[in-house]
Amino acid sequence: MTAGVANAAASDREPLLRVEGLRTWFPIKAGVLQRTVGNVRAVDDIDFEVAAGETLALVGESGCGKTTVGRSLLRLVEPQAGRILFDGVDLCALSRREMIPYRGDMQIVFQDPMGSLDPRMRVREIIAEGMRSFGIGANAAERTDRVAALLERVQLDPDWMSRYPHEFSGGQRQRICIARALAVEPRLIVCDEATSALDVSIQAQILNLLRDLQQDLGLTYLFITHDLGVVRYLADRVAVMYVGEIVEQGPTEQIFARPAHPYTQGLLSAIPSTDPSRRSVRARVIGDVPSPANPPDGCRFHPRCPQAFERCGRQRPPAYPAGAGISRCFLSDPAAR
Amino acid sequence: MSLAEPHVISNIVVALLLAGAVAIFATARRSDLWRQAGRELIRRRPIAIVTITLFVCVALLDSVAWVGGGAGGGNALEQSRPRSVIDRMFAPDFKEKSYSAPLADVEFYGGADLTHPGSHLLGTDILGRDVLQLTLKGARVALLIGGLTSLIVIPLALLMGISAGYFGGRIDDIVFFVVSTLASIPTLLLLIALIMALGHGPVQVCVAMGVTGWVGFCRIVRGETFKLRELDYVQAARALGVSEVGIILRHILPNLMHLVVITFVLLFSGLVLSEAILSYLGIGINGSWGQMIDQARDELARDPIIWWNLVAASTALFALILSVNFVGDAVRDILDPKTLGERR
Amino acid sequence: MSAPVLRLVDVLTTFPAEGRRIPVVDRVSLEVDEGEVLALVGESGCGKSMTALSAMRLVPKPGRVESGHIQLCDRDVLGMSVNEMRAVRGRDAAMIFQEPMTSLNPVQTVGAQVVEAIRLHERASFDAARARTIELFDRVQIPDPEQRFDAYPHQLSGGLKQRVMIAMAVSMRPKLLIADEPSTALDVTIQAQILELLRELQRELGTAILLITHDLGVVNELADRIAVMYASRVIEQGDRVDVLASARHPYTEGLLRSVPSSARHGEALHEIAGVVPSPLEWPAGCRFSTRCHRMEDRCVEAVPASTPVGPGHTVDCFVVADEVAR
Repeated sequence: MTAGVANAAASDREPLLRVEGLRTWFPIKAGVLQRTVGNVRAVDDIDFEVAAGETLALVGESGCGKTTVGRSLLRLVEPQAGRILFDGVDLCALSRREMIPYRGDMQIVFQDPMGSLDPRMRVREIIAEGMRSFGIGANAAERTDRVAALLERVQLDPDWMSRYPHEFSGGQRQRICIARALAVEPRLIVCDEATSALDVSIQAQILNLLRDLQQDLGLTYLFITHDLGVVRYLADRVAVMYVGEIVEQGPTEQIFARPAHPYTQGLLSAIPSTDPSRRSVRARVIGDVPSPANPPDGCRFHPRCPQAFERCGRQRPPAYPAGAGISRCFLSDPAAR
Repeated sequence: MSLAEPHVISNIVVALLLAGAVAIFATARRSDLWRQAGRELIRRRPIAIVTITLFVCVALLDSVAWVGGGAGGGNALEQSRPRSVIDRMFAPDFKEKSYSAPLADVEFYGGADLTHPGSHLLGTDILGRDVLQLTLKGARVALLIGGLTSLIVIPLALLMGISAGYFGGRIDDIVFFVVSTLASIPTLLLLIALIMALGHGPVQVCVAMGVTGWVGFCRIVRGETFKLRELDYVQAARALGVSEVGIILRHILPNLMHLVVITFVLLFSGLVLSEAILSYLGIGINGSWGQMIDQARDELARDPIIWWNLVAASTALFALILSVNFVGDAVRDILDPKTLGERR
Repeated sequence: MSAPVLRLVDVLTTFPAEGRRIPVVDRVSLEVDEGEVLALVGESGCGKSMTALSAMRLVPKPGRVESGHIQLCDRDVLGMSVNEMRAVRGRDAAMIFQEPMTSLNPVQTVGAQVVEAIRLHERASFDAARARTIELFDRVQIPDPEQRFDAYPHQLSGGLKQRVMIAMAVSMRPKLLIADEPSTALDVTIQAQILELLRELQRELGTAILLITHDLGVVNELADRIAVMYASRVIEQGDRVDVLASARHPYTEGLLRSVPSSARHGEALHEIAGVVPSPLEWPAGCRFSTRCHRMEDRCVEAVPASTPVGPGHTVDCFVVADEVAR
């Protein structure tokens, strides 16, 4: 695993991806004249970075904005503000046309294996589609060879390239999606809940595949998920999101062993374990997730926080350093200790 | 014989259509999905398919015409007119003076002897023309209405609908405005106005029907494009650097084809019936079954009733429309995206 | 010991496909005792939901329960008339489903739906039923129950909708609650709340629960006993601790080791090779034989019988049966 090496060297190397102040809001229009009456603040001023070769997990529950982050990075939805620095180049500042050459560096694998593949295209065409945009493979025969090689790499029979998506199982379709992403030789892959729709035993196969590919090809992953078990296994660092903000970030071990933010603590205590000697689920977080169209004042978590106090409802806490990461909670204020 | 003569144009068009049909057939055969669908269709509705094929053959035969040749008889004028294959199945002067009953030997009124006694299977109409011949020729008109108008409606609706659905924003506003305006004008009035302005020729009537008929399909295409645009595989294509036009041609359009096929089949019958109504108002196409039925207004009022004109045209119309509707329902079931390709 | 609340003996439920009838529940036998929680675990397509639907005689056409014996609260389910079965559903046995969005009628208020359920089984005036409903909403920790009574489903979050479903299900104090993936569609913090709620209600009302799920963590939290299904058959059954800590069937073992939390960071996850075979490709013998690392020739030809490997713990496997015999 290149993680340890990557972490040590990360501090003296510019990260492969650095995101600053990313904001993606979706306007809510109403009325006859379709005026903007409010915004769904899906991603609200977040900062994070990912070093080359490492896996950063972006964790959170529904409505936290993690999926929007993934799509904003690839500009599949347009962010309103912020900088996305990929290898030093700010992708947000590029026009759509200038963006095209950079599209080959970042790819995405989606959650739903059914909707991710065009049902009317054969597997060969699906995987080769991206190659044409980036001039990979000089002619059709060469592209077909590459498709065969990619299918082998994701452990599928190359003869199946003339089949249609519906002839494959969910796990196999995810492998095809991964092959499609690899076809353009990306440096970073965003996995948007890539294993959430799969059975446990198939999930294990895909996670192993992703791990092997990372080792063989030196890939960097942004792994978006709600499943903390997968996070612990796969990720080097974790960023926890809640209603559009990153509330805690840090190395995986630290997040699991010494979570600083009450939301992270609540999240961890809510996971049921398969260890029969422990029945450890505690519902520490009460109430329901607020809507990102109308987030609470001050700290967004304070209405559900078992440790909230008066200041939490008035002021938005800044990101305090917590161990090797950060925590957006007044309880983590070093001055308060 | 100049190229501008209608029968020559018609011959060329038929040749082009056949070439086009062969090309589409060849393309569709390459795709497993369409081949399977085709086989399924023939399995489910054999009689309807055979009926439609017969009508199509008759129409094609009636579209190929040339001057001269054939058996003698008739005067010089008739000999110099272009006659189609269907025409040549009957004698060149296969006319009487006026009405005669099916297989009759004498005229209906007066009882005078007929020129061709006993050979008019379905009788003759007010001008003495053989009703069977007219009915067969009507097939060409019907298919012209359905085919040519659809050729106008479908590409127009696709272009507007996909633009509106995919790009949204201003383009969608414009298209939506045009669509809503057109939909608010009573179709019949608009049709009458257009035909008055453009003329009564078959092409003009088809254009008029096309202009008024694309709105419904456009709405469907727009809605479906909205849905398709949000699907993950379209997002993946964008992430792979495929241009917008490329995405439309490679991902959106192929996934709308099932709608196109279903709409074409159902539109067809609606258009033929619409033309019948136009004929009733006197602005239909010459030689159509609708026109023959329109004549029935007079004929049914007579005593004894003259029924063969009406029955022939109605039966032919009914047979074609019924077959098309049967096929349309089956096509809709087979091409339902949920089941397409999942048949084992 | 009183009679079990639910007893399935050799239940066979089939669906037509390709001219044959495929068993989706293949001679399944299990029991749920009074007040206990039995978890029916398996991955998608293994037949666990169909087993539950069979027990309630809710198998959708064209499927049907071909044979076997189903006893619910001492009554023979397959022998009952349709009306008698309707009386049983909701009163003696209730069901909650996975997708709260589609389980509730979107054009009726949630309060009205619960009232309707109550009045279906009891003669109660609207006011009495309403009061009962608000009490139930309070019991399942729905905040502001009076106001929520008049809310429509789309105005409630997933967690609240699921609580409404639970309220409806326990309104008649059923002896058996069948919960089909009750928390799978919910966020993990909400899932924790629902699991705690189910645990409390179960203790308070003494209801037995047949829990259908694929999540082994949820199983550990709620279940007293576990039955593991694969390709329409139950292949291992036993006490929670026995099955989770000392699973004997190769599939159960493989499944437990595939869970990411059981692996260490950086190690490869244990994989079960291959994919679940489709019903049209099932081998004649043990259905897991195509993927089993301990497979022997006899596994493909004959179906293994249930062998006891411990008190109340049975496994359907030839290789394990041999080990036990030694």
